[in-house]
Amino acid sequence: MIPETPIVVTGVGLVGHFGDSPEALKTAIKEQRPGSTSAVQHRYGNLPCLLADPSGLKNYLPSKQLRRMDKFSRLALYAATLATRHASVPEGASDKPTALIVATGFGAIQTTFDFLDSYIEGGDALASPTRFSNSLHNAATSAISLMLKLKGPCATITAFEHSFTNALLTAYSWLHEHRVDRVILGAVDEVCPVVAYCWEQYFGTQSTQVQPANFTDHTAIPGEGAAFFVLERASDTRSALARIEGINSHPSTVPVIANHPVVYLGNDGSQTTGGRYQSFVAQHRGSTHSISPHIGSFPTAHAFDLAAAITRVFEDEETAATCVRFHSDGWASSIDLSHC
Amino acid sequence: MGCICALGQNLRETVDNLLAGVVRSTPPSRIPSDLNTRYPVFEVGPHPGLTEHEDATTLRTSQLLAIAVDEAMEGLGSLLRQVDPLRIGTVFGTTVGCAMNNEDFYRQYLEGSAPDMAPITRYLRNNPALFIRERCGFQGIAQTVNNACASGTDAIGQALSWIQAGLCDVVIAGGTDELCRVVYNGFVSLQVYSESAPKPFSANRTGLNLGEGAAVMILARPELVPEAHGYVLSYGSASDAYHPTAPHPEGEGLVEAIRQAMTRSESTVDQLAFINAHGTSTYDNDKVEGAVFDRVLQGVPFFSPKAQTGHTLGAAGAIEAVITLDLLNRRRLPASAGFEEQDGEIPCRPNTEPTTITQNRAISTSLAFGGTNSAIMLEGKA
Repeated sequence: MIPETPIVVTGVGLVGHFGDSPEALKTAIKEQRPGSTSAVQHRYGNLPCLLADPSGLKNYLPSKQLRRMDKFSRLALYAATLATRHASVPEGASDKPTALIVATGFGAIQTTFDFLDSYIEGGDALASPTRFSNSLHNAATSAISLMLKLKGPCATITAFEHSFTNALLTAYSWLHEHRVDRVILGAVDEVCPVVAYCWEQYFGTQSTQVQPANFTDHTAIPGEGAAFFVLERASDTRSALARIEGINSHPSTVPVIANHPVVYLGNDGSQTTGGRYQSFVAQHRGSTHSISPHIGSFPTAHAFDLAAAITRVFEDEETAATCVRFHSDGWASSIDLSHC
Repeated sequence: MGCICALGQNLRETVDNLLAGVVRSTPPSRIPSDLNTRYPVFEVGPHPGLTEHEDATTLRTSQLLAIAVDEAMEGLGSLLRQVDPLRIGTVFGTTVGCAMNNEDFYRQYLEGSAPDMAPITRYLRNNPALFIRERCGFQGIAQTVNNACASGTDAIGQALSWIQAGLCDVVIAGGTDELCRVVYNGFVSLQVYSESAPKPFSANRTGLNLGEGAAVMILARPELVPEAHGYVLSYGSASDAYHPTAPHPEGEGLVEAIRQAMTRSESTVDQLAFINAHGTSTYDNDKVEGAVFDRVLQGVPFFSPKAQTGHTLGAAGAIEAVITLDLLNRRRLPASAGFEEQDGEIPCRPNTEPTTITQNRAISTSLAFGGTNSAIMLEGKA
């Protein structure tokens, strides 16, 4: 889909294993520094994961307000705060109608299990109301809306690996129809012990280093983080980081062809999709990059590919780029962007 | 359109029973509980599309949705065949259908018996929008909306945006949710669950009852459909930014959502036949909603179907949207079941007698945890 109404990115906020800024991600990529895994304990062992630290949020919001907030919401709120500051969005986005859209693959999964714990341990009568309300998929969206005083339309969207691309399409539709003049769009997912257990059950092996170019072995590592973007219509803004040129979701029957020579690929060491990445790399006549060693694997990781590409395009290292992800269900997503 | 809920196994039966004042709440038959009180629920009765026990591959949430989708698609084969599958989208609201909260799996995990992954694999294959896209062979955008209790309304609103933005020619939109212990315990723990039947807007209301069901609307670009059941004219959405679970006391977000729906459809108050209210029968929701109606939609009759459907969470907005459109086409407005006493804190009262309507537009509102407020404007067929 080529946007009929051109849209641009005016701010980016990130928190991932690499740190909490586009610069930190850029440095990690430049230094080719592999992520340092942390062992996530589950009931039957532990699994190396690439975790993200949202503790920097306390520099922006009073600790008292964050006391009851779980890690899932903190990750999202931190990245959303950084993105709005990067784009100089005034408090409460009071200058123009602003929407908030959050994409997530699994939602507040740790708090979901914490809620189950509350009544499995103590009986149904001891179910925790706080954990219940924080376990809803829109808990992070609610926290951002509340803390950043955003009063526009809000949406929480989930479609596993398709979540971010489709949320971006919805953001585009809202800007196109002038429902709002700005969209704060984000993606967030977290690791928890049950996810670690499931990962081991599905993939069997434990990797300590993601090898994106190894298309046959399973070297993927679970990761987590949040990436947020501020989007506006190109006609409404003078300064922007990059322009979104195309947003596509490809069924397995449609070949993925990158529109630009520079491609950020989502090859994360997953055996399931390794063959498709291998074929793509073999046919592509430009350069490919993977940031998976710095973020790990999670359903909404496509958002980080976009952030990395935006940084590179904005700093004039490239004029344009395409972000491509092949999904485990056979589909693929691609986002084209260019210098403004 | 398609619908299944405690009131009926299709849209016609649902609206017939709504107008007849049928209430079918029972103690939960499928939710194990050690609570002293068996809080009532609104369950969907046996249906050929629903398995009696948990199915190995398909969540009940998806089964309910598939029934509603099949009803909605009846007779639309030629329309769907003429549209490029890449331009047919799917968008559904849910709460339960997207949560990885399988209790049996988790209990086994805690007990150390290394649970089998089948429940997780099933969860991964049952995201409502992806499930229906694959089941029907569509290839357009697919997303599930998780805006808590407003999800169904928001899904229909987002479908409208996709069509208006040129992303899709046809969108299968709606909502679905099943009853489950996790959500049941959650609402009981929040102390908003009534031990008796819901009484929306009544002074003696004591809270909500949960229900289950699904509803679907097929939205298409007007030029593709010679004869439509009706029209989704507009969608409004705004946030309170006030509290994680309570609505803004002045209904700030709801007022704005209604304003957007009215403005975008160029509607005036006297064009409205009625309001389908969110009307959950909780103290806060009904008080705020009633005050907002009196302030910005004064004089427009309103009702809530939740004393007859239960609160179906992510499905509620969709079920109420298809009910609203069907009522417009029947020119009928039901009594708001459960209403008994005027609440001194609510400056208006819901409709108390079944009525014939003359106007052809109605607005349906939804409020949700997280401070989301949504409204859609619907118009019956000419």
